[in-house]
Amino acid sequence: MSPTPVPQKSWQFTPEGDACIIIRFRQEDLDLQVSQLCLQAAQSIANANLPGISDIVPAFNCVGIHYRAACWGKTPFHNLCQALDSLLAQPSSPSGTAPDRTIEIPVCYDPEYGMDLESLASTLKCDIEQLIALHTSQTVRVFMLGFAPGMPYMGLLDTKMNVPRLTTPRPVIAAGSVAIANRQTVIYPRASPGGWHIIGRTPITLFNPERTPHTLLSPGDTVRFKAISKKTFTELKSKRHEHPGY
Amino acid sequence: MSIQVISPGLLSTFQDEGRHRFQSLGVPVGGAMNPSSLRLANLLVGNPPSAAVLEITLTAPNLLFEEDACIALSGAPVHAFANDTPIPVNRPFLIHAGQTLHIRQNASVPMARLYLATHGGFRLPAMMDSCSTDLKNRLGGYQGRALQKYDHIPISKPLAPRHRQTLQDFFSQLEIYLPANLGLQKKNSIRVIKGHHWNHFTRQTHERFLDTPFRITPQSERMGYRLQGATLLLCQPLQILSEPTTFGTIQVPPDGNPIILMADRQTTGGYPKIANVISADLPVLAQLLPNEHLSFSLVTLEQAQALMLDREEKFMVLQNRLAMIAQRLSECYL
Repeated sequence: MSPTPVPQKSWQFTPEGDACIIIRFRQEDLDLQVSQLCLQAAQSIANANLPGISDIVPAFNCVGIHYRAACWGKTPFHNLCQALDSLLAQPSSPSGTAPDRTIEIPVCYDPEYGMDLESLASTLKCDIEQLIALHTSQTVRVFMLGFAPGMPYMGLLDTKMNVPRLTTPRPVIAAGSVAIANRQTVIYPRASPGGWHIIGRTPITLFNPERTPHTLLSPGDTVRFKAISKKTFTELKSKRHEHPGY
Repeated sequence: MSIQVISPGLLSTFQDEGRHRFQSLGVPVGGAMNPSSLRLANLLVGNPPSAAVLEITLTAPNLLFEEDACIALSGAPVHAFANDTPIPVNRPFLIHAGQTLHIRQNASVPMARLYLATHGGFRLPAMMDSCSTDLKNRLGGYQGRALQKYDHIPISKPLAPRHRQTLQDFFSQLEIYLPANLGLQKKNSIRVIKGHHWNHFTRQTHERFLDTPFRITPQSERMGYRLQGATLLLCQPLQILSEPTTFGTIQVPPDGNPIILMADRQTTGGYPKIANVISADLPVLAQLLPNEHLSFSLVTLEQAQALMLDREEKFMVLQNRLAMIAQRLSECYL
């Protein structure tokens, strides 16, 4: 038997080592509603101020709860699961959740920045303009932040934009690169390796440890992309552009 | 009031218990690779257990102290000297102004990491509530990077020279008993609990994972230990969405070579998890060297947490017993 999950309603608890619990809502595909459940759970657990909880990490279909076992008696996993279970069973109060906000992110879709535009267009059998129109015409939700500080995983994109990741990741991708794969879109906050298809670049900062909040985006935010020219990109970049409201 | 870096060593970074509360923003926790030695080094110099210390990796730096300072070394059982005077490991020591700290690896018990604490701590700005150096994101510690030659590290508290003798007498008479299970001994056997995807691996993989040793490859660092040994195989390909990971999570990428996620790990990961190293053995793991071998053995979650609570209790007893060091030092410092 693998780690014994505590069987429960629509969620179950599994140990992630001896100092973290993962609350799992469903084990299937990407789903906006499941993501919403994760965010609500994360929020109500945060609001409850349980002892010894160091991090609450919402992900696509689960939430990680990092804890200090010493704060939870002789059987820490069991005791914390019980506390979490009764919390999750309570109806979540709407006042406890963060207000919905929509954030517009300027993106320059010039092929110099969006180095995969051309190959993607041919894979998806459309032209580059259609691809850009698809990316800018809809809003997406921030599922979670991960991989690097402030890096948003967003979706779901139109089914026409469903491509798998690159088979061989690139060793270095420029900071601000906007990329897509598997009906999701991401922005690389800093230069890093990456395996997604790059379609453009944003001049704005996504993570600043010296500001509060530290990240431009939070899980649950709604995002809309706005196409900008290369000239605007350069202007915004030279001003070390911070997003208004960040 | 500072320490001059004569030579920086291979990788010397400031670390505390890590940057907590920000994993939901994708910010790695970081912190000391060996949490037990971090804590012990601090207790020995009368600091709070979580104060930032210098984590020294493999090759140690040479450090010139410009002022008297009360220091302690914990972790690798090295041969350390203040000029020519030997410095015992795991004891407080008074280093004099003008003396240089030299350290040689102990060839008979080589270990990867050594921790240097100084009473009152190093004067570093906290970044997002932590002084830990995040090398990848250039955050915290000393300018977000490892030490370099000519750096000057400020220390927080000056020691009045008139207290030199009293303190030296106090330290030499001090009896320090360290309980056996603080995770300070060298060991190549690492205890794990089954990971979330354990049942998705083949039966033969389970056997190989537990019966054969793995080599820690030289590509291992603070983010993760990349192991080589038996190839670990899934019963069938598994697509999983990225999910939270922790210190000690053992992930298996498609090539079948496991990676143990360490202090600077990313907050989430999308590879199947075969097992998790128990917290009590993380200090041991942090001390193993590249090209050394390790083997895994299974325990239950209940056993892992009992071991962790026992460790915590031992540390609390030790902390109470060493409280007199903090007491005595507070009388001598300005």
